[in-house]
Amino acid sequence: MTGKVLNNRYELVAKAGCGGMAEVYKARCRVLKRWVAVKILRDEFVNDEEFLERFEREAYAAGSLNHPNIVSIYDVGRDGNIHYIVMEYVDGITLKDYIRQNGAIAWEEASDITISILSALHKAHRHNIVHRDIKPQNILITSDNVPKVADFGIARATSTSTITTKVDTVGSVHYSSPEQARGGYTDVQSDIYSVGVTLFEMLTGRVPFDADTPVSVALKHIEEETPTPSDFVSDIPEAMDEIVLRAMKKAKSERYDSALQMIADLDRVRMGKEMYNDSVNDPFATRVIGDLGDEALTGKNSRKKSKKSNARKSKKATKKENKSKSKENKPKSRKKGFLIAAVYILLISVILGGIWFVYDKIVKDLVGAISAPRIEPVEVIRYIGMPIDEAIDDIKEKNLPYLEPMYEYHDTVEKGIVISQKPTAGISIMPGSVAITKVELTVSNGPQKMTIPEDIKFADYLEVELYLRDDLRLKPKEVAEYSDEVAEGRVIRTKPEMGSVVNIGSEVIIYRSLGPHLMDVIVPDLTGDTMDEARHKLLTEGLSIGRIFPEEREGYKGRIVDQEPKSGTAVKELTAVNIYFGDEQDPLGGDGSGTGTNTPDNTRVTRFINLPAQGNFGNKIEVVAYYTSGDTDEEIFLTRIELEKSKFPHAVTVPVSPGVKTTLIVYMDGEFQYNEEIFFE
Amino acid sequence: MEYAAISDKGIIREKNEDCWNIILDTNGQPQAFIVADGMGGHQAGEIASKMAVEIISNSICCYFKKENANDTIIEVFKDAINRANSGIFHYALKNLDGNNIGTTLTAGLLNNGRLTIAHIGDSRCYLIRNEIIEKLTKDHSFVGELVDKGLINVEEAKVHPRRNQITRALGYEEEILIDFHSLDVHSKDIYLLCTDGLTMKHTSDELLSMLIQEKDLNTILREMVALANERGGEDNITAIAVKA
Repeated sequence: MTGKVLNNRYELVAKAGCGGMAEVYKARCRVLKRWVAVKILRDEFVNDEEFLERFEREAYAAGSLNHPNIVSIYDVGRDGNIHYIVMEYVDGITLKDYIRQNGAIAWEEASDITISILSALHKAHRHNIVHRDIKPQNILITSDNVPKVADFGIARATSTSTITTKVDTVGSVHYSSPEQARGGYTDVQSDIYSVGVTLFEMLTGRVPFDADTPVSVALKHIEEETPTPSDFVSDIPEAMDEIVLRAMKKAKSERYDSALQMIADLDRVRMGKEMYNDSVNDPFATRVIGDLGDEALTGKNSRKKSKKSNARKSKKATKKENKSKSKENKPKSRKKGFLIAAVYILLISVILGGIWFVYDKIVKDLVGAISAPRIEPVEVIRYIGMPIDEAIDDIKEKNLPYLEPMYEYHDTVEKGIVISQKPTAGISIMPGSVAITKVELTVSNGPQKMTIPEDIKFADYLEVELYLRDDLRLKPKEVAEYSDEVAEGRVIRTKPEMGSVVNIGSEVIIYRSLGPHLMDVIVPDLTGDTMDEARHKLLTEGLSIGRIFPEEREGYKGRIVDQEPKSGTAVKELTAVNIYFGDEQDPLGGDGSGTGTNTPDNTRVTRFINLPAQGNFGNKIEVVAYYTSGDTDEEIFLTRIELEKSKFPHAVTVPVSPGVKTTLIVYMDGEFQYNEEIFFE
Repeated sequence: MEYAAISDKGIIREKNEDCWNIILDTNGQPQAFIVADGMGGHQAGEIASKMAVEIISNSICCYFKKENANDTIIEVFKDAINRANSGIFHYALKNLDGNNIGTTLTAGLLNNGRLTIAHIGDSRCYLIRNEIIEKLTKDHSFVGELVDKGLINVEEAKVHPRRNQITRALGYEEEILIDFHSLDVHSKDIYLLCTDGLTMKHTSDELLSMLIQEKDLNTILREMVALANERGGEDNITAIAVKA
């Protein structure tokens, strides 16, 4: 299909890939002069009306999702039997290829990619769009390493039969949740499961469940226990294992409730790692890793901590564990006699009291003096929607580390209001300037300004409209207007005028030319005039000079005997008026302008134009008459006039030459009515 | 033997990509029956099913003409189906830019009082004996296998998003695995060979109650198709019924 142009707009340049349902082409949009990706639905689906309807509907729904990690949809259309979706062209490769090329991805990067995917899903889920086909093949990694999720909510169930003998032809079975494999109800949590599988594959370079046939793969998703990523790649943190396993729980209810929840966990692991790596001696690091351990323990799949994580533990954490051990011992001692118990309790209280005293009075101060004060992580609140000053005040008050806010244009959010934040609200981070995770806020700069280009005068209206709408993101409004200067269909001016700076999304009136506005004028009486006089009269009225009879005369001597249209007729400006000169011998003929000889054989006869009886006409009828002379087919214009029915028959004068057959041809309301042959001896 | 066949494009599809044939012996008795449901883009589905039916019919006819008794009936069948498989496969390779096409195939061969069934895909062969209906073939489809494994039931299979994915097709790959089934023909047995356009719209109990009516097979098949179309008719519908 390469080389084909869809709807005269999208020029298919090269095939970029193909999936089970569609083929993807790199294409050029002729109107907006940019690269796009055009996804063309495979032939076998184009007769499935129900499917097509869903395909279009869902593509439109997905088209409303605007997110940096979602491949934008620009257009949905059909050209004949070709159904297509036009999408943002992404210069990059699929995550599947990325894994193929690099093998297992470092867990930190895998975690970042997963957060991007989840953030895209979060947006979609909030709009009630479930992706249903999350897999590395549907995730693109741009050349700037930005992950982008493609194919949102595009219908997949068809009534058309397809063949899937090999597993790789339906790649998605590797990523579909148990409920999808069963054909059950799918929702947000089904996407979470697929993200879990994708994360697994990034971490280990392999899919968790593989087999020879699609059905066997589906079966494993339903029945088999999910393997642990760190069994394949040893340096994956335990907490990452837990995240994958939780996302991939067989029961939906045991998975993460939302994409956001999973992001929070990934964020926490990322933070722990960074702190541990970058500042081994950082006093806060212990806290965070301790938290992580707790998190891992509270997970449903709690298991014994690995040696590695024990090794990471600080003395403080070990102390804490010992403390809890001693608490566990307490009930045991109660089994002994009451007296003994009482003595023990007394003894223990004294000892504990002593320890507490020593700790509180001495150790605590000592530790406080040696290291930094005790610092607890602080929960990041939601800054989105808050004025930046208030947000910064809050951050300062809590002593949270933060980066200079970034400013971005935003169509709807007022200037100075926070539009996004990192970390997400609800996540706790360490305060103090040494902490690694800093609050990053993006603030609205208000709507983006755009200059209306100055060079669009005389440009094609449609092109300008599309350019303003799609490229400049303005709201063009069409107003049609007459213009003597600008040709029909082209741009005369805009309001606000060209060169003005306006907000993105604001309305711009584009004045489209209807061409010159022609006035109605009354044809002046030219009979008896010389050529010069007639020319002057016609030009002052805004009319033009039509054919001059008799033809083939060099120059026009004499006086005008007749004209067409007749004097007194109302016509549009610029209408050509035909002029008839009399013979030079004519008594009227005087000393006209021009020189040359006149042929005496020009005669005119009067004929009546009749209204055909069978015609179905309104009260006003446009009559146009032509005539041919001799055997030539050339139709020469004779008259055009609008007549009421009562004005028929209408007399016209037809120029004839003796001995030559002249045919009068009559049109009414644009339709041919009849011929009349005239012989003049 | 009484027999009847019907093929209808349904009410949604523009084309009928199903194909069928009944081969009669010199006495006018049915000897072989074939139904095939073609699939593949670019309107090539009908090529696949037509080629399958033609090639297999020709091979079987040749065999009966020669009356070459040395081959077992399964070998004859296998040979015919393998020819069809490679015929379709190479046709697609050569003429369709390597775009794979394929077809289901359910065929029955009567010989010496036995019926041998060869089967690929999700068309079906049913046996009705003593007012009991039995599905003789296994669906080579994603949902069919899930049903066999007991993970979903027949009704769930009908609404599964992957209900139209078949896992084995004639002509789709260079090699083909064929299921065979053989049984003694009893008098009054009814055999029904049909494509999924019929079975998606009727439960096996419905098929049974319609087939055991005291009506001629042609009328019964016509009523089955009419009802399938009433229930949506999204797919082509083809059925052959044979009464021993």
